[in-house]
Amino acid sequence: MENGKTMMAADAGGAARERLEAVLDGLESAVYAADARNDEILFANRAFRTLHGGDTVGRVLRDLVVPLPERGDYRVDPRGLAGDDAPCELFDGELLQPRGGRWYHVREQAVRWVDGRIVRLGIATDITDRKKTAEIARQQEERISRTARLITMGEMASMLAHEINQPLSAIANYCAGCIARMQAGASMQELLPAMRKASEQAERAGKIIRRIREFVKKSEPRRAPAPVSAILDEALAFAEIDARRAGIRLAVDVAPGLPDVYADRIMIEQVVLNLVRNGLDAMKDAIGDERVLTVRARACGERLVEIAVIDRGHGIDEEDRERLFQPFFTTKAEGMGMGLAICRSIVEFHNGRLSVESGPEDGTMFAFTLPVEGGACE
Amino acid sequence: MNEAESGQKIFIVDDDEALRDSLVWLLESHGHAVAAFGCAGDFLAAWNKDLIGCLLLDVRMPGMSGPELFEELARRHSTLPVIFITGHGDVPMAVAALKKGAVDFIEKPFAGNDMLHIIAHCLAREREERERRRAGADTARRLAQLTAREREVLELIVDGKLNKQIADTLGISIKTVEVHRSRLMEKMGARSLASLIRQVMSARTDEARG
Repeated sequence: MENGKTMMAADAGGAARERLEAVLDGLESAVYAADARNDEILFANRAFRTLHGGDTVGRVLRDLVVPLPERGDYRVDPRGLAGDDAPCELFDGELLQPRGGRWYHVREQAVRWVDGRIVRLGIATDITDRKKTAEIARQQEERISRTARLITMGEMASMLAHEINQPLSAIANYCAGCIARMQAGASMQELLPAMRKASEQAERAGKIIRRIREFVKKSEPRRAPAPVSAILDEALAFAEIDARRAGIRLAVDVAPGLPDVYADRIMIEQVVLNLVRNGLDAMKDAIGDERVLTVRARACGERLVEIAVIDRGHGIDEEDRERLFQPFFTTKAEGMGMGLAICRSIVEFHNGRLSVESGPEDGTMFAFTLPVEGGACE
Repeated sequence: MNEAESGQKIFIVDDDEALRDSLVWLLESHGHAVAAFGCAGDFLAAWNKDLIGCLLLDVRMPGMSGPELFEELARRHSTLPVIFITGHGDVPMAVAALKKGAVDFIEKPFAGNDMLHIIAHCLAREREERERRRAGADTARRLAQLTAREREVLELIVDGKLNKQIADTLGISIKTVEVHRSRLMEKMGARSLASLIRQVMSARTDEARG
């Protein structure tokens, strides 16, 4: 003991350096120091050494596992720095190691080394996992916003109906009142205020329409080539949850080798999702083997792809079928009756057609066509 | 009959100023007396049990909603009939209100004539209902003025007994029965036997209804 104490006291500087190295070796991040002029590695911690399979001091910073900034990435060229310039920050950013596909957060600073040289002191942290998590979060967010867009359409329709009702009712009342008074021989002076108010209400209705048009413009479709299978996968990922809850199996039948369609993916996903949900609703009372909902995609000539949603539910009678696509027509207790009208608008916007017929077995088949990429006949 | 004579008034509770104003205009154009309120609270403040006519009540309002006001009025034993004004999607709610005693509902945007018919019908029913209640109260008051003997005679008349049978049943002379009979006819304000019987029967139905 006595002896050790003396030794430590005698070599206090060495002990301090050892402690520092112990801390640096304990880090999961790779730490290195290299000559700013010739890239010679002067120091490397354990994590850095492990990544490079042994001692690296004396080698040059080139062709390493840890990605390093290129010359152009630096804020100032480290080679030109004089003693007075240090310490200063050289780089702070995320870099991809192309061979391993791993992401690193790299920070480099120019500092004065023990012998007065300017060195690049760097720390590189593997952030691959963190980036993955962030990516998943981003995807989830996108899904949520997509669902929100779907909800918004329904709410929008409901709000529109309510809001436009107010001025329309007021206009109707003012006019009906005027007619009654004119028939009773009222003077123009008597009618004027009501007519003015009626025209104000017409303007109010116009403003509501303008607001809706702006909203629609904001969510205007963006068409691009899209693989049918990807569209169906996305839409059915949502529908799967509902189907499982309802105890209904989703069967997907995509013909091989289908060309990409030219469409706004999100919108078409909404159409598929809407049709599938309708189908699931229609099959509430189906039994046993019948609890299968089929989503089928196949070529329809050279220029079109047809996507069909085939349920084995209660079917739709002739009379209802004709009114099916009218706004606000619904057979559901809580339905707004906007779903199919919106679906048809979306499909028609894509120069496609949405049709309904009896399913091959009992039940109903909703089918729509989309032009394939390059086959769009605008 | 118009409301100026009957004293009936159409009360409107709707939060939308333009809609309210236009309803007032339309209804006044057809000779109705109208009073409009922008929220349920304002109407409740003005409410008393003697209001007659009908209430046009918007379903969707900030603060106290139409159905909530309707329930509050029921708690206060209001006799004012209520017609709900509904927008799209409120129909299930309106049906529920009908089951609870609302008279009718009109859907926005209204077809003007339909609305006027519904209101006219509602006002007519309210008048009849009020008349029936008044007549019932009148009959009850008159019945209370009869003597015990006159009431006995009345019961037997309503049972369809002849004067001779009544005299035998009560052990009095036909002459006495005739005196009682003419007195009670006078007290009941009945001009004929038929109207007397109708009056008593309707009072009994009211009693049975509670």
